[in-house]
Amino acid sequence: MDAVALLQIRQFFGQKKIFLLVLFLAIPIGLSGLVRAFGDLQGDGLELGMTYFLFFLYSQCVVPLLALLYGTGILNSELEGKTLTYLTTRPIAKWKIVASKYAAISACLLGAVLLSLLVSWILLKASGGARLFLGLAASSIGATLVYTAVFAALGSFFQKRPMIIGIVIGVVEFAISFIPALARRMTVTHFLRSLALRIIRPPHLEEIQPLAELAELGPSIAVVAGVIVLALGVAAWVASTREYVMAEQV
Amino acid sequence: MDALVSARNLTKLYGLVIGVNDVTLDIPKGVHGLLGPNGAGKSTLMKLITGQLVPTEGELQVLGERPWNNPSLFRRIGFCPEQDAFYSFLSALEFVTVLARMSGLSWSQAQGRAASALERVGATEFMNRKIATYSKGMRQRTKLAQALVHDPELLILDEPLSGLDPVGRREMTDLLNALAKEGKGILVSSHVLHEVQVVTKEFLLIYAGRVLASGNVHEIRALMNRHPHRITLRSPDGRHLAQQLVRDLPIAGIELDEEKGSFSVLTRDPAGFYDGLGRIVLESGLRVTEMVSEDDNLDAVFRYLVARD
Repeated sequence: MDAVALLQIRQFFGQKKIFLLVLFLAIPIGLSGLVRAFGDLQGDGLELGMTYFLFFLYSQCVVPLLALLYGTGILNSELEGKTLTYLTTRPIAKWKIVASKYAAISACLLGAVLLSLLVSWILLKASGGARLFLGLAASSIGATLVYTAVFAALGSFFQKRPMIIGIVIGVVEFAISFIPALARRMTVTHFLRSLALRIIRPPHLEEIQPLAELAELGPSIAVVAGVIVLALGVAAWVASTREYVMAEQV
Repeated sequence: MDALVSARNLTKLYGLVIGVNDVTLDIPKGVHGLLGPNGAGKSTLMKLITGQLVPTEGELQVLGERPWNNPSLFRRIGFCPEQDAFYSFLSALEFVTVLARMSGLSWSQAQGRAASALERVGATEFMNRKIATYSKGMRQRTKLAQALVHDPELLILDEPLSGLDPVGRREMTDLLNALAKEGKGILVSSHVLHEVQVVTKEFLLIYAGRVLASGNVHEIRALMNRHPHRITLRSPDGRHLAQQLVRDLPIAGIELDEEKGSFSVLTRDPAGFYDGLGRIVLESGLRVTEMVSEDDNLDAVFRYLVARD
């Protein structure tokens, strides 16, 4: 296994951030438990409701927050911990360090997010069957990969307050995704939502969301993959050209 | 290319702040001390040499190659940074193994080499404990082990003796001497001359981002001796003592401070002065209640060299 990735995985589980991760992922589980305990898990619109409920919780709230937390720190956390020197003085290109750390963080986040999603789905009495889980899993995977890459790029650009800048961008993107017509097509959320809804195709969807307004499955995957490649390219390029030295170390 | 490090008009600016200023030097093979007070530019120069910083101007070659964005060069260089930072959730063995793996060794090779490097720095006893539990000395040894683990040609050691107790310091200097005998190129920085003069006699003096002088320790000592040392004395019989010192000892000047009840002596022969002072005190019965040698360090030499420039 790649040494940088292995080190990143050990960091992932060794840092205090893991408590935030557990907390964030416990929130949708808790809410699902409340819905099960006090809600009505029957009726025609159940599948559609569950789709929007879980998509909102995971792909629009929890996953972007976790990606923000881990993506912006992909090199910045090493810089703040003053351990980056150990990596940059080894015979490894900086873009490879970014790529390995991204792969390791994404793998850890995906495992945790999918586990949480599975528990939530089971708590909701597996509403919508395997297709619902599959659709939400696909959008969660897409969201994890794309937001982690975007926030990694952001973190490589901004060494100061990348989290605040990331929150602002996330909120703006979230808001734009609700604007009808062309504007929402400029957001990643639109394509993630299309991905989930195209796979799940819940009954009564057309009543609130005309299918024509959704992107097709292929283009949705292509756009998400394209943004991931672009963002990672930017992160790797910045890492390769930038001096990563804390002011107090000079 | 015989030089370990070769720089031509090397300059590094941090915005308007000068880190390294128009440095031209050739560091030949062997062991060299990089000497300068805190903030002199030692760490900046080391970061340039280890490819962490890109020169603003000028040329820099390390082992015949440019270090910036040249990862393959780092198979040949071992760097022990000054900062006391670690992945504290790892043990020393895990830490050094993973960094050895990053240096291109296979996992099995990396583990074997890590254990050997840790043994060499005297860390075997604690290498399986988490780094979070280590003392400063243990952490310094661990840092040195990661620099050694891939058997580099050139070791860049940034203040490796800082924070070590006398025993640890002795063990570390013995190790550096052994590495030097093996033919490793070593560049070791410090702000204290006597700390590194047990490892090498060859020094570069750096101050305010500039290499002011280079040479062996005797030349630097001579430079220090040419520059008058200031020794401040306090005595209830200050006036009498001062008169006797001026008459009998090699003194370049004397300054009285009536308010503090002390006087300062300037001498270019501190050893002769101390010998003579002891004799005078014994013979005359005059008392000395306090004696401080203010300039018995490199700062005076640095100030002198800057003024001379």
